Amino acid sequence: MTEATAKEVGSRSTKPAAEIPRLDLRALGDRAYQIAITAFAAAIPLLLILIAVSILAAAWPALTRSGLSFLTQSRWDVASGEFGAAPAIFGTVVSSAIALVIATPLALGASIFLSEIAPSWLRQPVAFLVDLLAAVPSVVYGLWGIFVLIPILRDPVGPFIRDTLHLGGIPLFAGPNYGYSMLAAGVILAIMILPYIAAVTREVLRAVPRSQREAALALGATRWETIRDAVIPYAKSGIVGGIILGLGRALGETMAVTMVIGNRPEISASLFAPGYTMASLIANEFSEATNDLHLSALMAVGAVLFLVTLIVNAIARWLVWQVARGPSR
Amino acid sequence: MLALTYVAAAVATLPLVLILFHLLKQGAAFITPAFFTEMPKPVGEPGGGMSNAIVGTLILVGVASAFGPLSESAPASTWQRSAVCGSLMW
Repeated sequence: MTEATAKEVGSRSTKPAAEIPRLDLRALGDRAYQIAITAFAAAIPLLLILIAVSILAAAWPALTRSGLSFLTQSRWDVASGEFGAAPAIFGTVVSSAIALVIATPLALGASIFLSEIAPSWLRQPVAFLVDLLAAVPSVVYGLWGIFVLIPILRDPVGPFIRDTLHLGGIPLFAGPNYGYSMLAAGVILAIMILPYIAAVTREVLRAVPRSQREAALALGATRWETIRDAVIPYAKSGIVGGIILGLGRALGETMAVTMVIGNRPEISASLFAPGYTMASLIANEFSEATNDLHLSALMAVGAVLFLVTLIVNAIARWLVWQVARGPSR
Repeated sequence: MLALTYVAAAVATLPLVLILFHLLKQGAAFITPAFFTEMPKPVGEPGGGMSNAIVGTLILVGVASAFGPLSESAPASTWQRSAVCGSLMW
């Protein structure tokens, strides 16, 4: 700021009275705008804290009554007031894990194809189609799961795994195959989180500098070796971040999972057995929860889900940080 | 290994195609003007539409997109302000 303008600013207050209201009004507007913007910005973390506090407060009666057995017991009996959320917690974790196991290699493969291999005319359309998966409403995924995926799992897939591959003996594929199962939930979740992992990975791979690839190629690496040894290690932390973003989505997903998982509060080793997740437990029972303890127990399930999601996000941050710190490892 | 990425890309786009195909095959015949303009008929009666659900979705999206940008630090445009006023009056 030059001296002249500084002088002018300083002399504003001594200017003729007629101009003062206009200037003050403007400053007032700026100030009001700043306050409003700050309030809106502060409202977001405040909202999060408020949600956490109100859930905990509502969950308190059930948590103090059941204690630790709320997390470890499998019996969910509304009539006798026994609430054990272990099957729902198990279901949430296992269905999300299945989803990650299926979606991660597919998403990685697809984004490597899109950023490294595909001819440029193919990139845009295929990337668009994969991104579009994120735009499908979850209830539509659920409908498709019921009418298309579950019949497929029931007939060609189940008998194929058991009779053709002779895997029926191991507990993972034992028991009756209704179609409504942990496997169905995992597959639906995998399709739902695939676009998130793929989009993040694609952008991260695209951000890897050209010199990285050129150096590897100059050393005589093949195309695949370049990708494996020069491109992916460079993008590792971003890829891990993308996978965790997908995991976060999978843990909280409600509608589609509720429609295909079978909603049975049991812990079973079999992928063909029906299960339950925390989100679907809340969605199914909330509208019918009439007594206070039942309502409180559902709130406690919500609190546990909240906590699990927080822990996963914390681990994710730590992982991304760890991976970003040592790219050579 | 490179060939596997081709397969992965193909498999990744497959669900969308399958879902769209199934929806269109089962639902396209029912998309008529009445579907958008009429209220649902009682269960068992043929005909009617989904206008209540469609309008409900539009209101919900309208209110949400009016409030969403407020938390950003971008200056509120006249459009946003009028949208907020409009949604408050609903």
